[in-house]
Amino acid sequence: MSFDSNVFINCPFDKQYVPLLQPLLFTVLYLDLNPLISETRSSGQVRVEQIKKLIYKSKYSIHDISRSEGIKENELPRLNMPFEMGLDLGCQTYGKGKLAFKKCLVLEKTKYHYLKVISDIGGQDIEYHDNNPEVLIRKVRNWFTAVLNNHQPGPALIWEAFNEFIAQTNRRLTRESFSKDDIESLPFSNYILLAKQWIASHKR
Amino acid sequence: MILSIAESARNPQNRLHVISRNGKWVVKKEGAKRVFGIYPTIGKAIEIATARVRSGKTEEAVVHDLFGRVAQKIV
Repeated sequence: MSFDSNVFINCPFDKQYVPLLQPLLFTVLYLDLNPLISETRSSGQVRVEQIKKLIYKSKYSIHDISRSEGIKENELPRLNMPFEMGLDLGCQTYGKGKLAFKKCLVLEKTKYHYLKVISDIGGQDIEYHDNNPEVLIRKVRNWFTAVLNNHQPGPALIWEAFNEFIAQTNRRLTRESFSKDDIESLPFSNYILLAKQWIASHKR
Repeated sequence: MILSIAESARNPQNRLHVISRNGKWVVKKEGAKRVFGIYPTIGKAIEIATARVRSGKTEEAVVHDLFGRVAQKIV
């Protein structure tokens, strides 16, 4: 896939975020774009080097900073997502040629929460998803419609397609003797492959 | 005959999905563009989907939770 269709996804990969990450990846794929996530790469390299390469290869980025705070009370904040967002903004600011045309969408949990924790990012495209996958799909779809300047399938259609994809894929994997645990811990690279196949045969 | 029943079970037109939509719930045939109906509560949507299954008009109904995951199957 080319620079123009690559989308760097900067988000947590923990179990709590999976219910949002799956519709996010599905939406990017449904819009004929190519999501790049660090989880899909081998663990042999230093992680930040992999991330820098993904940022360099992607015209678009989605940074979900909604989980930058600790999950539980008294838990330390997780700073990987803001750090990677900083790398991406730096690449856009100081990079030459096509890198100057990079665009990013910042997602947060609630409106204006970023003002309390990272107000310097004011002026970027910032949207909130309220931990709701329907809202997340709408915000991501609408942002890409604006930056790509073309018409895209509607948010409700993508959301309903995602629901059907989940049901059909569960059925397929169960037929292929995947256990419930196997399905729930499917690597994201495998999930992306299945979503691509499904979209290729079902997209209207 | 056995084969045709098996084929019928795999026919996507024969499966309903109960899906959330902006605080309401829709019942939709798999693969269809339009929804079968929009209902104020998940309970009402499940009631309609269950009636379709019980009457034999639909092979099964899949109820999704707010994250799109399969929460329940009605057969």
